[in-house]
Amino acid sequence: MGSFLGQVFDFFGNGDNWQGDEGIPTLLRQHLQLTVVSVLAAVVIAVPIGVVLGHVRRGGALAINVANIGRALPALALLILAVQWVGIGDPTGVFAPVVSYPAFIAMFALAIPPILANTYVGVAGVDDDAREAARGMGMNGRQMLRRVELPIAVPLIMAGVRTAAVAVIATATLAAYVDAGGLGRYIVDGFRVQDNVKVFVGGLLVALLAIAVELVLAGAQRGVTSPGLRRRDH
Amino acid sequence: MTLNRPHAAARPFRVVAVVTTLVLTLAALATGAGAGTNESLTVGSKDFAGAQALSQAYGQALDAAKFDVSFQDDIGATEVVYPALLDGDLDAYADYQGTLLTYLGGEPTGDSAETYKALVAKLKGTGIVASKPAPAVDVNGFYVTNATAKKYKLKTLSDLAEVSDKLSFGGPPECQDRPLCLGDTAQQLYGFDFSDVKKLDVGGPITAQALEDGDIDVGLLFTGSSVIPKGTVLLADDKGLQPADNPVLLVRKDKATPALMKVANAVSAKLTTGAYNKMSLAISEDKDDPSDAAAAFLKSAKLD
Repeated sequence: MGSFLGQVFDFFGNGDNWQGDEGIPTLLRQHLQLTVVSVLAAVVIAVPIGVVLGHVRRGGALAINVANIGRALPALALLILAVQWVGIGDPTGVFAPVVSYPAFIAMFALAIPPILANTYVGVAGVDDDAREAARGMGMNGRQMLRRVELPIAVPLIMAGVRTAAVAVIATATLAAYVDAGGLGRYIVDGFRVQDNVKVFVGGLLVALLAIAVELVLAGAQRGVTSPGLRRRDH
Repeated sequence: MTLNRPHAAARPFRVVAVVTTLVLTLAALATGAGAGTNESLTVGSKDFAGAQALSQAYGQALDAAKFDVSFQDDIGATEVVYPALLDGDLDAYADYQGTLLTYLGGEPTGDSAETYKALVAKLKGTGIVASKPAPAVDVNGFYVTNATAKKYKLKTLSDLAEVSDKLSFGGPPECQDRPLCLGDTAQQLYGFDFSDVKKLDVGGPITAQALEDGDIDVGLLFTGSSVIPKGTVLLADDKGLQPADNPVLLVRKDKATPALMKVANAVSAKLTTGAYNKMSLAISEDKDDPSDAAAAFLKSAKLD
């Protein structure tokens, strides 16, 4: 065990592993890029749908069930299917995560369900008393949504984004199967040639990245929560 | 990892075998002493169509010869499966003699008998023995589209090496660790210097698709077991990089009774490139179960 950890330290100590196409900084950047792009795209699509459905309190079950297909379909299967549809793409440059369509499609599908479900539940679950009070103050539907429902739903929506981001970070390791970069490279390559140190380093970095992103998003969640709600613990 | 069921015809025998094994195991446990039979065999396989077909063919022939065979299919590369055999997690699996000899630090040649002799010498003292090699050949092949071949006037790998800096390459993730694939720069017989090396799958659909789509210019596929996309051409290995990579069954010495090796050698003798290719394509193109493809081969070879 001591020698294994020693080898892990050696891996981090070796300058070669900090540069080039398969150095830690490059793989970390690719991993983060794919995560940010696919989660942001999922936010852009899922939040408006969830907000509208939650506001009218209708169609939520259907939308969530449809979105859950993304959760039920294994990301690896979706990745391989996407290769058959759109090819492996050419993942280079700043837009690499978008240009590598298969990885993007698989991660996007994975990020949609938690964001959509939390947004719908957050908006639809606003207390009836609060809605009636808003109406009593003479607000119309749009004002009520903006000034009452959304602020109350924000913590839950952000929780959905956090769940999606962590799931995508863990699953984006699969992108290495289609040469779409990311920390999965160490896991896939290490596994092919029984290099356990490499596999361990890959897994460790993914876990650390997930924790870091989780902390940042938790901070952001606190920041966007309305002061009136902040005292209650979520 | 999937456990493949034996083909339907063998099922009644399997039920009896399973029950018998259960009773024997319980009896052995009850008396606290091993029954000491060498009859039960765990047969593993590497993780692509051709290798799965081989392990199923050898394994099912042994099953028909009253060995109690269980399968662990689709495990991984030689780097993963061979250590599992050494550790005793597996009792047997099929590999390719040139690939294995390279892995063990030897140098295979284009001559099958010579390579086999070198392999047997390397295996001495490891507790592993190899069956006689089958005549089938399945090696790494560098494929380009007809258009690419025409554009750069490519016929051989030496031609390819001259323009490789303008072309991208796609193949298995471990290709750059394997002297018979790309190897690292020092190991290269041809001196390829591709503009981009993509790590895709092992002679499978992703590499073939990428080659067809033009996402890569050069694809590494297996000459005997991959589905080769239409409109592509195999570049000739003019310097003889690829060895005589004939399949062999590797068996742990404590299981390798003369009776077992006799069955394995009988299977090897019938495994021509044609028969091997037929099984591989049945699996990768027609999506047949590896166990069914191997059963059909054994039936036609009268080994079932």
